[in-house]
Amino acid sequence: MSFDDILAQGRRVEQALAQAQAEPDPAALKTLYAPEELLDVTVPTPGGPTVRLMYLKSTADVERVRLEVIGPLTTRTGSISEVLPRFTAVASTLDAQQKLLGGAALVFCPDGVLAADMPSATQRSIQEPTSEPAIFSPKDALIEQLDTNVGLIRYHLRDPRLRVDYLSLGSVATARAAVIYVDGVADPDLVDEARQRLAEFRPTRPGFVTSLLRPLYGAIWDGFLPADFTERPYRIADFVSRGRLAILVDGSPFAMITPILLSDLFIDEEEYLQASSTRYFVRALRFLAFHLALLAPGLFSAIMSVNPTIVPGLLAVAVTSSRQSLPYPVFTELLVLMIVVDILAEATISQKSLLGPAISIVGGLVAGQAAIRADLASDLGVIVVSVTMLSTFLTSRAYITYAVRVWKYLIFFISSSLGVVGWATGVMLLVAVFTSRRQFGVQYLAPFSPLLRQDLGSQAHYERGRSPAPRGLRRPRPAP
Amino acid sequence: MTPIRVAPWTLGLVVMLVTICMSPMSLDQAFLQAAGYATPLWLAMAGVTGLLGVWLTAGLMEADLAPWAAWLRDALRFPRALFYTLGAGLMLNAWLKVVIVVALGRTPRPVLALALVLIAVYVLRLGMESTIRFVGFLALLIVPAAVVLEALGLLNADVHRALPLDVATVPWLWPAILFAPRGYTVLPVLAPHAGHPWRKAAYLGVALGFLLTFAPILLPVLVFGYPAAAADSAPLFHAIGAFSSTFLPFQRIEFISLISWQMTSGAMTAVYALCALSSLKVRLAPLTPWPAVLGAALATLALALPVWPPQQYAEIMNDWSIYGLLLFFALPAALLSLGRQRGREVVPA
Repeated sequence: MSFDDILAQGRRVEQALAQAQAEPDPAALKTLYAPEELLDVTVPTPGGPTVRLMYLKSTADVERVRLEVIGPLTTRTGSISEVLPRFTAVASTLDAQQKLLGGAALVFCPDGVLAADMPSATQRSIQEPTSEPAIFSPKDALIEQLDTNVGLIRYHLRDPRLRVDYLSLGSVATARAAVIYVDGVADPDLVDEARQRLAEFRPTRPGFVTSLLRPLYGAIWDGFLPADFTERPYRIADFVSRGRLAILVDGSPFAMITPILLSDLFIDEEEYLQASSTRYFVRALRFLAFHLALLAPGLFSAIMSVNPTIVPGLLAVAVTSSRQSLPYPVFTELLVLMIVVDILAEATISQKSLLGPAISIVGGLVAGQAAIRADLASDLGVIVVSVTMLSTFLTSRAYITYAVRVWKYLIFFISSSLGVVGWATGVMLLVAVFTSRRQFGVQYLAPFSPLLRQDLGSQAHYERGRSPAPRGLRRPRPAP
Repeated sequence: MTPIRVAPWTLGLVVMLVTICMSPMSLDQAFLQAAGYATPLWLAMAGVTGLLGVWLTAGLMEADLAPWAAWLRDALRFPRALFYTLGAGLMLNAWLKVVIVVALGRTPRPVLALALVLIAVYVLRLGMESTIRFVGFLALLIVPAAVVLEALGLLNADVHRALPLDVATVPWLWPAILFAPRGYTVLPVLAPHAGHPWRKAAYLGVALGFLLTFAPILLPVLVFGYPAAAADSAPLFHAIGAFSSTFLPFQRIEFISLISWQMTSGAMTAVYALCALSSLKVRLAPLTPWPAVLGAALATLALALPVWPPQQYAEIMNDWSIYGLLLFFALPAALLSLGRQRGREVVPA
């Protein structure tokens, strides 16, 4: 790019900025949208000046505009601010554009330019959650409209202390967002910090709640997301009542919960229906499955490849006889099986309801059996990889499974090289990642690391609403 | 810059792990050979030394010292850094020895050293708080695993093998020095960042760690008898490995002790390297090269030290222990007794 090009680009940016900051100009707005979409109406007012009304047919509710704007303007007398009390002033062209895109009606009158939101009421109905099936707990799920979602959360948590702070994300393309918390339970520093970070965020595509991860937490290379994502208002209400923040973005049917602890991943609200013994059993099972999914292939490969003497004699004979016709070592066998099963899982996930069952049957049963018969895989290898994959999907959050699947490979490679010594090295790396994780001052492994003796009981049992979220070393104020 | 905060009970766990690891665990054979000299009197003195070490560290941190003593206290950070660096190198070396003997005899030593040093360097680059939490969390995994393993190892024990009790006629200071719990040596660096009640946690850590250090010595004697245990190259691992089960998926369980040992060594290397860097006031951040430089130095040190001859290793360990006692016990005691500043109370207006 030549120097002249850079200068020209700079001039264009300057012009665009000047235009964006200038007073709203109806002629300029009309050049931006097709006449079929932008409705430009001149409305005579009784005994007053003629005003100009603009709105986008695609985003605003035409019926509402007719009833709430055109009706009063043509029938009532008085100043525009008396006739349209809900309307507020619009300062710049950029502001006017964003209002139009958000479904507002713009009124150009001698007093200036006024706007009020009248978004189209088109929205899908509230349906059952698709990624977090509910059996015993409420079956509603978030939709794309922010206001409806806030209403759903308020329905499940009728607490007068529930606060909803609205803010606008982005500078050019914008989206409304809401930070939801319970006043007096959530740490006020946490709320301020989250609001500040979100206010500084200038996303290019703000309509996705997942796009908030980077501004809030920076780059996440290890795959374990530091926030929880849910589409269930009941779960959001539960978390918020325990001192967490929920962040919702207009257009996204998922809420981000922050901060979360690793132990949150093993807990599902469905369990509250169960007796405590059953509840703890299920949690222990999830905890075990999480570790099996991460560590089982690595440990199996370490033992069979490097330290085979530690298994009982009969088992060693069984393993050897199962593998005797296999043309390659344990490492290759497991690696190929893991990749195949991951492909199968990914295919099933991406074709959820249409071809999912068919893919499972063809991939799992037919191809698996054929591989064993053709001596391409041993029975034990298939069992280990299958148990690993089943365990992966036992965690109560779908998004965490991806991190588990990636880390499984890393630990598998180290273990296959250095045996149980390598396996322990992989575990240490995982511990290092978890212990260094901190979100808004809250440790991911709290209250085990750092060891907070007074929080151990509340976290280990983790009953609903019993205690606010542990803040690591920055403890929250107690709820009034 | 936000202040570094260490949870007191995490500090207690770190102190306990240091006490366990920098004691007989890493040179069980040398201890067994010297065990004949360890009379109850000297062992009790070793335990008291450990507890007094915590008390002295706390006193020296808070004392209002005369200017010369305060200056000397600050100057101590250089010899401390040397002590920690040597400690980390010795730990790495002890780890190499066990791994080579028990598991990976044919793997090149530099590859093995690299596996542990890379973890330590990675953890150090995450900062002091993360390193301490890392070590504290590993302690939560290691200590229960070690207790269970030793309890299982006791199933093969026979008390008669430890009889007659070998009490030395001439008590010698060496076993007591070696046995002295060394958890307090990390306190001058870590305690200033810990909140209340770090003292209580540190005392508990030293005391529990000291009690747990007896198991690595007693278990091989109870399983193999004294002569066989003292001649073994890795007596503790072999004593645990002697346990065999028919009801577990693993017939032999010494691989779990190997995993614990790997984690212990990683934790200790990281914590001593952290103390060395912090003593030199090196700021730990992802972009500073010092953790990597120290890691390379440690790997070189561990590889340069002889791995096999236990007597030689024990002598190096002995010199290091005496150096530590002077640095963390004798010098602080002298400074506290001689360097107290008097008559400087502030009189309210």
